[in-house]
Amino acid sequence: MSRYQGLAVRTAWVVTGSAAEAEDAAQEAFVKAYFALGRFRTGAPFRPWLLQIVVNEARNRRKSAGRRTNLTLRAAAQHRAESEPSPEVALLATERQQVLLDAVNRLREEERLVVACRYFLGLSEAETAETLGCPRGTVKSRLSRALDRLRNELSITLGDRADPLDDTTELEQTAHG
Amino acid sequence: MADRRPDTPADPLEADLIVLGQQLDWPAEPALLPAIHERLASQPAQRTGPAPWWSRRSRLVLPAAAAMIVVALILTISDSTRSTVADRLGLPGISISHEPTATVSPGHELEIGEPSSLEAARTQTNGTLVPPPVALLGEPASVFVLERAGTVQVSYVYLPSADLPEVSDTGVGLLISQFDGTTTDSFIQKQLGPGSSVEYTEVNGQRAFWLTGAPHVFAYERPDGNIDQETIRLAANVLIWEIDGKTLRIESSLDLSTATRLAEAMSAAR
Repeated sequence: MSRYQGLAVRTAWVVTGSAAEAEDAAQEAFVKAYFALGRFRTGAPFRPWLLQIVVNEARNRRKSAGRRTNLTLRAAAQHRAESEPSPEVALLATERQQVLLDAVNRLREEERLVVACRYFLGLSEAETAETLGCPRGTVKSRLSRALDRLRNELSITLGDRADPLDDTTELEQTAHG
Repeated sequence: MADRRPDTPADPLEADLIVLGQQLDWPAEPALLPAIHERLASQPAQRTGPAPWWSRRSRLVLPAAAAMIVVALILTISDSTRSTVADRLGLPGISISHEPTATVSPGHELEIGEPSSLEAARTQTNGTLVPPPVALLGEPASVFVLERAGTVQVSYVYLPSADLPEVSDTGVGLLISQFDGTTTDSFIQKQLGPGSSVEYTEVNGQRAFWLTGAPHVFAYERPDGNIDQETIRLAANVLIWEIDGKTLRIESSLDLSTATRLAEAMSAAR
């Protein structure tokens, strides 16, 4: 269980946006999973099965709270990587991250969860579908719409500013010649 | 299933989202186990739906009935499921003994591809396979192959032993994986999660990375220039190095010097 508790709490957090509620939801989900073992299909992957219970529990808690909370970045001083070439570049990277996160937070709930599952939690498309209880085709379409919205928002907010977030783009361009 | 891992970020936005995920204010990982055990111990018969007829019976009957239900559930599901239950949830107060079935390869729960053999893996990698450190560890307990996006990932699973302490509660002592592609200092740094750290080291004079603090993921660049993200499977100490355009990873509870010796043995065998 210790292997999954971190992922369970992170999954609950992307739904609730609250660390305390995420911990409570994860704990409740483990208990429910324990009592639901008889419904676990033999040979099925365990991780998305457990995460589906986590998401359902977290959704219930968020609905009970009657509010929507946003994901947040770590404090700027902590998440500035030591390898940033200069304070100016670091500031731009931080600003871009915040703009991107704001855009993610403005996505429709179902799109935000797909984005979170795929890119923040590192789940595959199939795992995302099972975790969120929807077909893979729905995951594809939600993800496509979400990425389109994010691109549009970034384009409007940041214009043509170069991406200082990391050197992935540069590496890709180099690799593609 | 070949698509269990995240797909390759196809554009900068997807890569940015992955990096963003590492910078979120994630909650600290709590120790849920004691609280869950306490919950289960205090609510052994918790169920959804209407209260069963026996719920009105003597309280002395309740724990025994609950235990019977749970045991019955466990006994009606397969060996692999029972293993999953025992290994992952850690049922309190219930000991399950079972013999592993011949069809289940050690490490199958790590989601590292399909069970294979060294010979098959060698064929699938067109002879570029980096062999396991047989001289030091013997043959791996199992070999897995994951084909995706034109690349082949091969993993060797070693069971716990006197020299290889079990990592967490995974039932695995050591995991070695190899990917087509290379990684960079920047990729490693950007993907480090809270509480994780990287130390720069060398394997046979080549740059290597030693990740500690239960790192979550790392990124590498595939031969086609796209960036891939790989999950750390055991949440253990990780040594990452390269051999001839392949990125290799050792996950274990071993210290840096021992992991480096294994890595150097593998590099020398090429």
